[in-house]
Amino acid sequence: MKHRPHRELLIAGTSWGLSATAFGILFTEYALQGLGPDVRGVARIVANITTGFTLIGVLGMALGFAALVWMALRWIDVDAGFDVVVTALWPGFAVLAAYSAAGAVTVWLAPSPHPPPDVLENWSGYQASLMRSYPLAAVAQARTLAMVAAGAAVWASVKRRVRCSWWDAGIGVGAGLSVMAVLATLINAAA
Amino acid sequence: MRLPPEVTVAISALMLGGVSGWLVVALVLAAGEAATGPVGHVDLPPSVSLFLKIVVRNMTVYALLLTGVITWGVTSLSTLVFNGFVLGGLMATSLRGGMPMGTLAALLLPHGIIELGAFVTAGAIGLRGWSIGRRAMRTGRFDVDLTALRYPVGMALAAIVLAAAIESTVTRQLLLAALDAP
Repeated sequence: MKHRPHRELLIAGTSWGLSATAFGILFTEYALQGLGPDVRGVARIVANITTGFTLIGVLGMALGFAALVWMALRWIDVDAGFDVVVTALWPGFAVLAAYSAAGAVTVWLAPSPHPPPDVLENWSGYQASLMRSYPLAAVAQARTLAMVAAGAAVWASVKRRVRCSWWDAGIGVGAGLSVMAVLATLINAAA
Repeated sequence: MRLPPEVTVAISALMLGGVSGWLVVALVLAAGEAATGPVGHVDLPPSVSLFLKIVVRNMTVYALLLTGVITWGVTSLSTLVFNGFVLGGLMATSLRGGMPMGTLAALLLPHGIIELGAFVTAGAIGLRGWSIGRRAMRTGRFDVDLTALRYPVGMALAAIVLAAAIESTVTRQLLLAALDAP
């Protein structure tokens, strides 16, 4: 069989994308409960089409993160093959896939919400309030923990496969994470 | 003249998104699942603040399209399809709301041709990421030739600023005139 070193990353990235998409779709349906069909029509389309692009966006993020880590390692003179770095990143994305899947199951099992009459006037605020109440608050609270666990998994995996020092692995993964965080912040600020 | 394959893919992705957005939104509106009607009073910000708002929004799209260089073109492709989808949906909604085709064309074309040209250029640059990524997996080196990209990147950037200037002045006036018309 042909050797495909990026297969693990693609499998983990696709798993994360699918579970994140499932979470997004289930959350939209959850938030739409109790609303009239005239409201649900467009809101459902807009929300679900946007969520559908999560799958592709996550795949892109997985591949882009690999490139950024490789570039950062090269920048500090750690010579690692791109295929090696790509293969090293899958544990972190597997952790995020598990987190999103757990979130999707939580939404699936959550009791129906009771939307206020003026819900459409502050739709995003209503969605945020859902994430602050039980049981979805647990999903929001576990987010930081999941990201720390994913970062640690990536860090350890890069260190082991690239055979560099902990310091080098920290700079490589940290630089990749920083660029991703800055890009996400800019996009959110502009949206 | 033969277009580079990335440009053809970028145009196709934009058109695919546009047609999909048009069809999906038109079908939903036809099924009566959403209320829509003529646009009444619209508060448009002054030209300068509108220009800044448009530039920030379009620069975000532009940056996302360029990130395809390091994501194997994945983010470029999805951004092109998504923006085409939004544009197609917007056109379907406007026509359903009673806007004449001529007015819609007048509102979209002056800045739209330049803006979409810039997006296609940036998208085509991002789609280069596919070949860059494949080569990287083969050779173990993820090398991007930034020198070769500087002219198309710069031209697309200038086009986005120009399109925003047209949209915040010419298109703004056309929209105000269309809203005033009986």
